[in-house]
Amino acid sequence: MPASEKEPSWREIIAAVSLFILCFLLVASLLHIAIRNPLYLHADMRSEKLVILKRLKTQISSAVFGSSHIHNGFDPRAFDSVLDGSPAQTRTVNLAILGGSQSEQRSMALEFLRNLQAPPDKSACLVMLELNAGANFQTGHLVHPRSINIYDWSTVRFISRLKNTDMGFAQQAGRIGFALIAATLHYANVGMLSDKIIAPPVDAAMMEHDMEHDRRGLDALDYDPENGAEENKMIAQERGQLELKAPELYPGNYELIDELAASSPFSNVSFVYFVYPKLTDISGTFNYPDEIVTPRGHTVPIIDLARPDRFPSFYQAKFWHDEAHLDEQGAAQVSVVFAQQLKAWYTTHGAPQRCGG
Amino acid sequence: MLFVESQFFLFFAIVLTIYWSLRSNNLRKWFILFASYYFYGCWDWRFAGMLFVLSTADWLFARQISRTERQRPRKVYVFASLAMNLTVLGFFKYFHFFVGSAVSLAGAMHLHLDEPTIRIILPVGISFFTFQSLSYTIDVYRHEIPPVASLRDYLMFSSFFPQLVAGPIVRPKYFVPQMAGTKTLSLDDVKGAMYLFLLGYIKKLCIADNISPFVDQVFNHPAAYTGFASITAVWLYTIQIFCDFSGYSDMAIAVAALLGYKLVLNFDAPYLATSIQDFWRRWHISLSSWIRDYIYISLGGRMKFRLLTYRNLMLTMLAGGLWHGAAWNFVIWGGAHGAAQFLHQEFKLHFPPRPSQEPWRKLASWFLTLNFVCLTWILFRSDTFSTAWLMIKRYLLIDHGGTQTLPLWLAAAGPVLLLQQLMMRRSNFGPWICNLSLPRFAMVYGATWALAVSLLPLGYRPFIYFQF
Repeated sequence: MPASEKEPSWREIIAAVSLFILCFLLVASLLHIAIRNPLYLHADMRSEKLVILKRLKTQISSAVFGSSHIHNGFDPRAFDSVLDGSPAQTRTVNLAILGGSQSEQRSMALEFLRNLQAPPDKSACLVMLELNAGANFQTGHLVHPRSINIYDWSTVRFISRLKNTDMGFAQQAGRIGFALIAATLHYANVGMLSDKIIAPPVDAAMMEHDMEHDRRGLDALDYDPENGAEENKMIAQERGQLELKAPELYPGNYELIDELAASSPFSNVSFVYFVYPKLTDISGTFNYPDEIVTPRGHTVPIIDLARPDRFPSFYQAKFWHDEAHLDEQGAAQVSVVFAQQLKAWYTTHGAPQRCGG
Repeated sequence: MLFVESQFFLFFAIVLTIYWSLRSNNLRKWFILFASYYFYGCWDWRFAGMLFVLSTADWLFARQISRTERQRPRKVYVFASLAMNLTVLGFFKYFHFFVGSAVSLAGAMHLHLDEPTIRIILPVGISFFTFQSLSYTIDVYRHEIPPVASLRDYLMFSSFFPQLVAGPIVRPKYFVPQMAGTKTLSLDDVKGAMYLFLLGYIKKLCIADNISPFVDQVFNHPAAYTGFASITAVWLYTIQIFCDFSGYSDMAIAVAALLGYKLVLNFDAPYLATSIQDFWRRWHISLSSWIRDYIYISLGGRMKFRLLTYRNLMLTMLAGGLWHGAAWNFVIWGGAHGAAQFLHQEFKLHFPPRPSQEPWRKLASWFLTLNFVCLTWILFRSDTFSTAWLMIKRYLLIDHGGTQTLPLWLAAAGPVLLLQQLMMRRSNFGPWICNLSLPRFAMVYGATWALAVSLLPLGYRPFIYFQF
């Protein structure tokens, strides 16, 4: 700045900037402590799923997490019907969220475990996680309560472990950069106090749709004949050209299971990773192993449903709302096969113990 | 690029750094001109070109006006400037309005006319920069100012980015003299500007944008809400529009001040006005003084015959209404304000105030003025006449409405904020903050920013006045 009669010295300016930062941090810290659990601040569709969790928590013992493919494509009724009467019997809720990420899936799974109660019957407690959901939210969601409210240091640490040596520098930097910016906004409490004071109500219409007919969180989509014609064309063109690629598994995928197991109220909660189908799988998909073993010795099955060579019946236009999302009929079909695959895995590896027993 | 976006913070940080590191005033003016066109070009580069052409043409018209004292060519050039600016404004802003109105009128007369299917994009801030440019040629024509010698200086005046897209409308006689001489800033100027920017930021984001969803809920589904919820929504909108627009003005004034320029005050506690005339002396002052000087005075202003004065007043207010938006509800809104001023003048004439009636008469005037302003904001906010009519009936307690409610505490927001405004004025809060020593100012500023960012809304909305 140019000279004037009251121009402060550089020392005074630096001291003023330091005091500004100090007071900002002090007030932000006090507010952060006062706000407490920011997961429960209003955050679009996540708020509705959390209400569903609270409503059903005394009736359910297992939950599925992930992104829109699961939110629209996992039918808890169909899944439970296959496991009914078996040692792995479940009562499941769909807690996947449209546009969800690994970071959000982790937060929701931790919250599910915090709310988990021992089921009165012989049900197993399952935590089913989508293996290939995106690490962070999409860039447009960076300044959004969905990300701001959950990116604390433990989330940043988790995201920083979702990388390996094969990953390019730009992708690594982008991944950790997103997490760090979101964490900065998180600790600056961006939007949190206004959320606390004037939170919008949960979307009653969405809640009703996802809960009616005992859907338990499934947002069922209709078959779209317009998309169907395109999909049939694509299936005919691409079928038979399947390329199997090496899977993307990161240290964070393993460590997440250990973190969830450590925070679980019961020692015998079971964990499952799964990969959900998309129509684009018919030209190329990943070749996942059947299971992984975590650093603390948890063996976790990987139920890979995105395999056109193993499950060709999924790849019919009638099961799809669009290229990436199943319709209601497809959701039921895939959920049944999911449960059958899991049941078969338990047959060979031993059924999970009764939860809380 | 809005003042509240992170891109603007980055842009302005770069502008400030380069601007103050330049030593010569000429270079600084070139730099501000470049930055202003970049700022406007971020919306649409084509319209930056249009701004350049309009400004250059007005500069040339003013030069021609000043070169002769003969009335005829002077008139020709000022009319050419008027025609050019009003044609551009009319085409971009009012084309659909006039054509749509003509089609509706023809329909009422059982004639079928097809509305043209062209889609016209409204250049952001067009109403502001055309009015600003018009005031220049008119002032030169009226011999109120000399023409600006340098095209660069005129282009900078007409495109000065802090006030380009939503005002305040700056007069050349106020701004151009500031362009001479190298600028300096005192510590008090910087503190004052920083305080004003934060105040504007809080008004826009923490208040206006946070209450906007409640207003939208009721105005989008008015039939569903109770009478009390509807009245609350009108009060909330009254707060929203003030905080939104005056917040923008505060930020614009602050940004200009950090570059060493002074812009005019645009709001002066308008909801404390004790008459509609007083309200217009306090609300969007740069526009109301513009329409007073260039429309009301041009029509003849105050005349011997009261009816002629009222005609001028009414025409001015109708034009002011139409300036706000190309729709009949804005015209009616302007007309209502004109009619209220005319009634108030008549009332004062027949019942002149007496000292014994103070302060009750003043209090009653304030109450009536505020409620009239609230009532007419309904016209401003409603998308359809049926919504406006329903909300007006609710406000006048004629219709009791549906069953849905708003949180009760929101009803208190209006009175609380009004009281706060009164207290801030009485206590000279702004000067008090700016008189703090630098370390104390930095501490208060840091703490307030921490509070402000925690009060940001879930998603911010564009400034209401950008559409004008």
